[in-house]
Amino acid sequence: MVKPFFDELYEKYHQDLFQYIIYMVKDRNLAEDLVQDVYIKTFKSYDTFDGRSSEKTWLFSIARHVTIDYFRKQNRKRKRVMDFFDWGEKGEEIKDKSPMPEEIAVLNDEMQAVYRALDECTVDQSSVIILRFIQNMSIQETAEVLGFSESKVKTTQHRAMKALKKNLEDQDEGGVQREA
Amino acid sequence: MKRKSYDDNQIQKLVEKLPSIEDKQSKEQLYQNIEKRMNDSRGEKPHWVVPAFASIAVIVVMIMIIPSVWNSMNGQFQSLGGTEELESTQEGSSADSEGENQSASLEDSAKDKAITSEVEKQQIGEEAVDRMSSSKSDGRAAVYFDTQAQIVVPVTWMSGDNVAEADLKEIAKEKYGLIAPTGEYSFSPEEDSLVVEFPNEFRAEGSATENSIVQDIQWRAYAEDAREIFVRTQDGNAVNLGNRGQVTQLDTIQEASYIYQLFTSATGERFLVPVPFEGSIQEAVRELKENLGGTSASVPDSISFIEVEGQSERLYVRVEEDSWKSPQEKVTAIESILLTAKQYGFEEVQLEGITPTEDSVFAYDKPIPVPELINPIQP
Repeated sequence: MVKPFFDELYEKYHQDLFQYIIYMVKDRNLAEDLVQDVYIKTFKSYDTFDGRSSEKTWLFSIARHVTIDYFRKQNRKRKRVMDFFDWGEKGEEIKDKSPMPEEIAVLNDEMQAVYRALDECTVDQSSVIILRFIQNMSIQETAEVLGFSESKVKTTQHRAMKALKKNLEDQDEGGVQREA
Repeated sequence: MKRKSYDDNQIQKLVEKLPSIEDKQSKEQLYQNIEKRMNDSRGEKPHWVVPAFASIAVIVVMIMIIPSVWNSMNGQFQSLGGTEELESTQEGSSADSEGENQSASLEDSAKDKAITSEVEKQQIGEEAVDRMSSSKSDGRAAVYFDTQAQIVVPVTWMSGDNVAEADLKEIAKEKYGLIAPTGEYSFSPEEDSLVVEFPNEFRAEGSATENSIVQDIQWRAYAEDAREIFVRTQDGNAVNLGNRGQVTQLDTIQEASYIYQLFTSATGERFLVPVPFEGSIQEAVRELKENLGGTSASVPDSISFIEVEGQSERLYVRVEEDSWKSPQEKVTAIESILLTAKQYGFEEVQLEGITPTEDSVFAYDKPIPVPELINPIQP
């Protein structure tokens, strides 16, 4: 019963969905797991979909919740570990590092820097950047996916651009200093 | 060597050039994994089973223990009463049987009065929180804190224009159990901004004071709808704000960063207060049902959110209601949703599933504008 529905969603949205998730979590294995969660949640909650938003934005909003849930769980885990070892502020600096996907690893330094700079954005900022510029969604579609007002999308996008700019310039400066 | 700089256009183009990263698992493999996980989860015991059984067990034990504890306490009270009677007899009072009856009936009436006054107090407490927000904009915004200075309580003094600031602070403390931040500074709302002027020699004493001053200013600016906050001394210099250093400008309250929950002050007054929160509007609305540190759920458990969806300036909230304990509980819940929606940048909320569709406060079948004021109180 679920298979034809899965086929339809897969053909229409799967690669975009996977793209959104992997750019959010930056880990291929994890993205593969999370995309499964998205489908499971979609199948379970399809009854509540009333067509007020488009199928695509509804699916992406589920994907957003799945990734946020994942980040929350990670934060809780990290906090427990930090509390246990009393690492204090240094613990915040410890981040999960996953290997860069090969599609990114073959790019030039500047493009790799852009990929890394996304890490410096907040979850909301990354979401807006990925949906707007990688998924090419409109402000209205992005607002529907994120549950934001349109003005909130614009503000978040503006802040995200500022964060990316700062990080790219910092990375560039770091590169120059290392070379010198 | 010159540092490279980027503008928004360049950054956008670079992001757009990021490659597509494809999922390498095959469609069939993915479907099999999903199917397997769905089948596994069907066989799983729901998460609530163990806590539910534990709660039932606790309730059963309580039911068994409470009557016997109650009986033994009653026995103690009765024997205490008997002792008093004995003492009064020993003192040689010549109470006849009629006198005894009178004293018994006086005692009963005193008990009744105590119970009635307790019930009245509770009722007054409920009525005192009638409307916790208002769409009228003619009030005087103020910001206070709980006695531990942990919870920020924005309020609006209604008809307090002729009352001195110092008197309002005193009333807030005595009547509402709220304290004002320490420090003398004045506010001048301008078209799109709020200017706050400090004395020339001002220094924040300690980070707790500094934080409460900053929160006071930020929530006052939020009430005034100010987009920027400028701070300066009387001479026009930067203000020394402790850990923040010399400051000329403060950040405004960011959109989508707070939800509104219930807080009960030291004098038993209840207020809707902003609680920091990070997440989507769907998560924010659902979080209203949780008891967080120092604040309690503003929406009761008997209400389920079926759908929460933002469309442009309007937030749709579809609920399934089981029961409301009182009209007050209902109004408080709706107002916390409205205030949270406002914090997320929405201008109105369309509710679905609330019955009856109209009461003395709201018409639920029409979009409800978000409130302009919060916690209206009288001096």
